[in-house]
Amino acid sequence: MNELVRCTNLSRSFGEVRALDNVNLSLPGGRIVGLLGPNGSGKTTLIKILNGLLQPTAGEVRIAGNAPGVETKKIVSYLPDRGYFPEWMRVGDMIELFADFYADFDRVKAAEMCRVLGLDEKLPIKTLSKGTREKMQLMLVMSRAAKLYLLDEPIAGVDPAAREFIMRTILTNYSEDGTVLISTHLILDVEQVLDEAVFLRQGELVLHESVDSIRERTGGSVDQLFRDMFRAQL
Amino acid sequence: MLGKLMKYDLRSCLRKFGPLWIAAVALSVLIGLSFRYVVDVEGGSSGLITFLLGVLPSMVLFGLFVAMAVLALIFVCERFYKGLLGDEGYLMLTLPASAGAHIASKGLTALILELASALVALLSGFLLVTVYRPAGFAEGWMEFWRALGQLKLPSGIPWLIVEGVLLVIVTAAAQTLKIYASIALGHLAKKHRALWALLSYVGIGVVLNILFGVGVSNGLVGRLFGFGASWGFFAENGEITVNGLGMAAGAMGSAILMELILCAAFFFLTRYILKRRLNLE
Repeated sequence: MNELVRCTNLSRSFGEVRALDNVNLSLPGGRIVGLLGPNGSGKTTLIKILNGLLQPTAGEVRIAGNAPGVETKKIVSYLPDRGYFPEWMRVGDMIELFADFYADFDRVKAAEMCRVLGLDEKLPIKTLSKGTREKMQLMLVMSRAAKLYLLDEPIAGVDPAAREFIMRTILTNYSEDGTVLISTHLILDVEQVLDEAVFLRQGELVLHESVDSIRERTGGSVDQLFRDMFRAQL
Repeated sequence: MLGKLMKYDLRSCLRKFGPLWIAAVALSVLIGLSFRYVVDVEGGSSGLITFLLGVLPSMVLFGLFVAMAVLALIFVCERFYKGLLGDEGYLMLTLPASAGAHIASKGLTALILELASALVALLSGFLLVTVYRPAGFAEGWMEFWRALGQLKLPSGIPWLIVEGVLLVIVTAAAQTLKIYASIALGHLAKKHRALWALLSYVGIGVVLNILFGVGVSNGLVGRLFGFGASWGFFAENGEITVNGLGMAAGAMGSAILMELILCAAFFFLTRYILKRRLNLE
């Protein structure tokens, strides 16, 4: 199968703390992968390294054969776990910015999502509520036909109805030959859509398996396996 | 990519400074008009009117220029710190643009802001005087150009002026890039990054002063800038004499070169940190 992401002996330390510890991971194209682990297990660190926002202490990552840089950023669509909008911009400015920089950005799709969200392009971003800003960020990220979507905790801190909206937005808009890596600890909400699951525990990769294989092997759900494996930590 | 990045950096700059620039220009015209029609009327005006319509607006205009300079400095620091190393960095640094393009975009925007603010200040002064005394100002202006035309300038003077303008621009660029390098160095700290950025700025200044001192003591700086040589300007009967014109041009050239070296050093240091040592919180 075509390899899209490869992490080789990847480690990252923050002082004494090893946020990632010798992670070896290979992800193919066209899959929806859950990056699962409790808080502080290294999910965000891994995603930041894949985005080139953090440098590894040891080891390396490759996306479509390239180290994180200008070439990988052209094919990666990233949803961080925080708001990143410049306060001075309007909704339309952000759409224009994405269209300017990303050749795979679909303006028509963005306009349609704006309509669904009730977002007027003339609205200043600073007037939007926190929840609307999060949805707008998701709208921008999912309006790209990217090869790799890196979604960091897209459903954390939102109510069940919003979670459903977010998951539906992801599933109905991602480019099908692309891979979606969703980091979360809310496994029940994503389990139904996952092809593969990656478990991280204290920076170590403890499991990488297809969801079908997990169900077949354990006779239970990914959520149940996660609870069993991380019971002590939860 | 540089052009696209600059498009958004310039927009954020214009959004903030456009109204200030317009206000400064409008206020200058108003002050010129108040001088012309109210304060400077025949027979004189009362002290209160002079204060309210002459002195007070002038103080406001001066305050506006000071505010513009302070805001420009804050803007230069803030756009780099928040725009690349704060939460906005998650957006900007994941765009398919190199670290060098980001620094160049921020730096060129800052330079444009600094030069534009200086031009607005000049334009304000020009407008104030023109509106106040249009006829007298036009005469004075003509007189100035006539006198300038009559001066017998040595052939090297225009080149010296060009060098002077270049020196101002590269010095502004070096100072801006020094701020960026300091902020980037502060980013390497785990805590109190703003404080470390400030200390880095002071530290860079100290290191450069030491290097300059070493250069002076071993004679290198003297040779570069022609210290001890008798170069200078003398005006007599409308004729300007420049002793050691070549030496003056050489000294100015050396200064430009040194500022360019500083620009390169600060640029590559900042680029290295953004590329290899980035650690967004």
